[in-house]
Amino acid sequence: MTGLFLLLLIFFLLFSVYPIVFLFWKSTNVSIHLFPIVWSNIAVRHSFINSISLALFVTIAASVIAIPLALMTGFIKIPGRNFWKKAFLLPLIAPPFVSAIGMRQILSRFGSVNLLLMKAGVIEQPINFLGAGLTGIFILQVLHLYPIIYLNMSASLENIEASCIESAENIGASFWQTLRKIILPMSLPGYFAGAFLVFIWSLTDLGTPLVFDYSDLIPVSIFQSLTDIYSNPGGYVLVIFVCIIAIILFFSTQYFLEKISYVGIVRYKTTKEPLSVGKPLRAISLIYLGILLFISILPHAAVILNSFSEKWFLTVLPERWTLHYYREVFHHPIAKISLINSTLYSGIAGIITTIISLAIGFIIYRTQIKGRQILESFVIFPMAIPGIVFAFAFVLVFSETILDPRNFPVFLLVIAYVLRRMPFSARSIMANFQQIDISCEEACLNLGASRWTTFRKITMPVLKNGIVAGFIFAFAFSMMEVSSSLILVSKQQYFPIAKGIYQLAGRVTDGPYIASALGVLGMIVSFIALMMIYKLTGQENVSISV
Amino acid sequence: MIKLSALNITKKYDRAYVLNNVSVYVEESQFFALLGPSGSGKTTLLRIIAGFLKPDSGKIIIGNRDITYLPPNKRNTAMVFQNFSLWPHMNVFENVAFGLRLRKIPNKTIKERVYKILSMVHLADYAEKKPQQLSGGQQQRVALARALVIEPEILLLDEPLSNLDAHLRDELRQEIRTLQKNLGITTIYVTHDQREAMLIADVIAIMMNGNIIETDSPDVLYQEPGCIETARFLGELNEVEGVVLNSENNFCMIKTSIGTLKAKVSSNFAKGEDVIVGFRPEFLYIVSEKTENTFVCEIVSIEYVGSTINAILQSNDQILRAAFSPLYFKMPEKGKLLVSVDPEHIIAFRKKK
Repeated sequence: MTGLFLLLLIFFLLFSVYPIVFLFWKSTNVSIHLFPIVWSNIAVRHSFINSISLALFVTIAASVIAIPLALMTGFIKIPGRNFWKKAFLLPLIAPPFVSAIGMRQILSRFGSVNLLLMKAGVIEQPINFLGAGLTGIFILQVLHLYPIIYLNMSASLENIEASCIESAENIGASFWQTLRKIILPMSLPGYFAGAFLVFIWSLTDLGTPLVFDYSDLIPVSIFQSLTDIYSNPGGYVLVIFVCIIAIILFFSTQYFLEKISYVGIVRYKTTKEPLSVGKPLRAISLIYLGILLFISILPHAAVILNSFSEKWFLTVLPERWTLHYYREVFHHPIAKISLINSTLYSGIAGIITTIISLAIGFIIYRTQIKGRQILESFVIFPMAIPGIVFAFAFVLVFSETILDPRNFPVFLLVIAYVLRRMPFSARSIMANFQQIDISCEEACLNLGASRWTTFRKITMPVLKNGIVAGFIFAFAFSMMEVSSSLILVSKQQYFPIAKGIYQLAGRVTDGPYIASALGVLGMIVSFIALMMIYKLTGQENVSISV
Repeated sequence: MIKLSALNITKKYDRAYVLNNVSVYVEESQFFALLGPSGSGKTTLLRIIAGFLKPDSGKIIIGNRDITYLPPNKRNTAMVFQNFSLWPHMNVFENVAFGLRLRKIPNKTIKERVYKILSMVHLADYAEKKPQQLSGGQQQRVALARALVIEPEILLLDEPLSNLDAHLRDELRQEIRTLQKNLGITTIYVTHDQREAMLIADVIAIMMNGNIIETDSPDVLYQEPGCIETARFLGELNEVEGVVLNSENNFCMIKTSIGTLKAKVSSNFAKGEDVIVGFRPEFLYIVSEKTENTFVCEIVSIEYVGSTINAILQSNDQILRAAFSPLYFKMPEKGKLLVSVDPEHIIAFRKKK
């Protein structure tokens, strides 16, 4: 067991801690005195301001959408409440850079919306909805990310006991007073956890701006700087900047959450009846939910339409339908290879993630090895470090070594997938470990079973769902992992799906259609995965870091 | 004077009656307990009084206001929940002050009233603490203070002690009782613990299957229960089947398998009527010679509890339980025993067909 512990320690130190430390160390040598020079570059300043404002506005907009949503589905008695609760997981099944392909089709100058409005005679000239691209990125990120705030906040709301709300009503608080003074403050932990994820996600999203061909954003600048990583310090400065922001935000969120955490309060779960509210409020809620859901799945629907359309140009809907592009997925060199590769990479990453998570769970909860708690910090560490930073650091650290991603990226890519999914998979499995009372295992040992039999007969059955869910999670969301896929892989033979879609979407002829078909397959995989995880764990808040 | 009446309250869930035409009357300043096993409808009744549930039919009246359809926040009742339900984002002071702030009371008065009530529950020094820093007993005291500070017309308590350990439970129960008496506040207390109800309440209503089967003071319910369900629910009961031989002057003679017993009855029975004779284990005592209501028993087993000696006895195939005084220390563990029970402590119940 100690050997395993040391092995895990080496793994995390080598692939998680060392690259980041190296990045910082290198940057203190290279970039501190270069910072003013980089900052003096107008283009860099521009992307700074753009990225920060984008992340800020996306977080605000996502909050404005998600808070009422969480309250409505959480508290109000509305028809189809359970459907609505789950429906808002849908936007999460495709990363925004996939829906971007659909969005271009709908909102571009001669896209469906403009054509529809022109046909109806509402406008004469097409409106430039997407702006220079930033508006499109904003819309897509908001539509993709608000469910993260919604899910986290809903989890918080679920945890508020019915009697906490009843006590307030009981001593004289009205509905709105209770909402303002009790319900909202008590759901802050969930809200902040979600808002943090959204902000960092938006700040470091590489795929969406690339599809919109918009380069005045930090992640794109970082991506472009990789080509001349040794001669241009711009990339360093930006990566360090993003990394520091992420770390500061991560720890301040953690600190804040701890400060307002309600652990320790004596609590017993009581079932909460949804509130019956007046007809107007119920109608408003239903309209809100309906419109929001419609808008949210519009980009996805466009991707689906796109994948089936033989020709979709200058018309509201496609003119002719075809299955051609689904056949192409299995024949087109880029599509075929990236589909096979991704399945393979994600499968391996899923297995490794699950095994490591199990090992960590076992070491932490079933052994007395000194210092074992540090593994928990290693597991969480990648949450504080954005994917783009990891990928950049990998390129920096392992170039010109045996693991050079420019020659053979698969190894590092799989490691990146593993690290990125670890916080979620491992915690799902560890939570299961905590559920097993150690005396259940002791009772089995006590009756004469060996440690191995005990593990197989007692521990495993309880862990089973958590393990399967952890694997599916790691697998499905590695398939859709964007930044490491785009950054680490350059040779076509190693393309994963994300890189394949990106390459295809940029081609003029049939590229976007095949990319859409690939995207639809990805959505189906994610959807099935989500449903399975939901079934296995009975949790709704599983997809937090898609 | 009647402070609260719940009149003919009926509540159904999916066609099953949770409350079936139930009425309660609580007098001003009374400590009224709703006692019953889980599922008997007592919490439902309390929640209807608080306004969290609407009855299918019936009325709730406080003083002379009909509040049946008033929302909970307009009723001027205050409830203490089983799970304390303090707001974790507010400190103790803010939790208690919340209700006063809603009533737009000036800050200075709020401070006075909060500290006054906090010192009554011995928590004045904890005003700045967050609920999660307090023990369970302290949290429940805060909840109590939060309910009392608004000076509600009715205080409602929903199993407030059931999440505390035994020692704290006794302590807090006495405190609640003292506070209630000092403040003179009309109180309704829901519990499934008969000992707790007996110790704390002026009047107990016993609920079963959505009905109130009996309402009276604890001692009357215990010693002279009106029905066998009450007798069974409040403590242990020896039950022996019998037939009435004759009945006059509030006494009747009943033939049973352990002999002919004389019992005090409130209404006279018909000759030949089938009855169940009930008496509590602690009313059995050991005698040296055979007189009225004595019978010979075989000792089956003896357990020393400390405050009592619990014995299982057998008399003509009838198993009886006895709780003797510890004065009988070192009584034999085998052999025969002559025991008796006074007619005043034997109750005859009509046997239900």
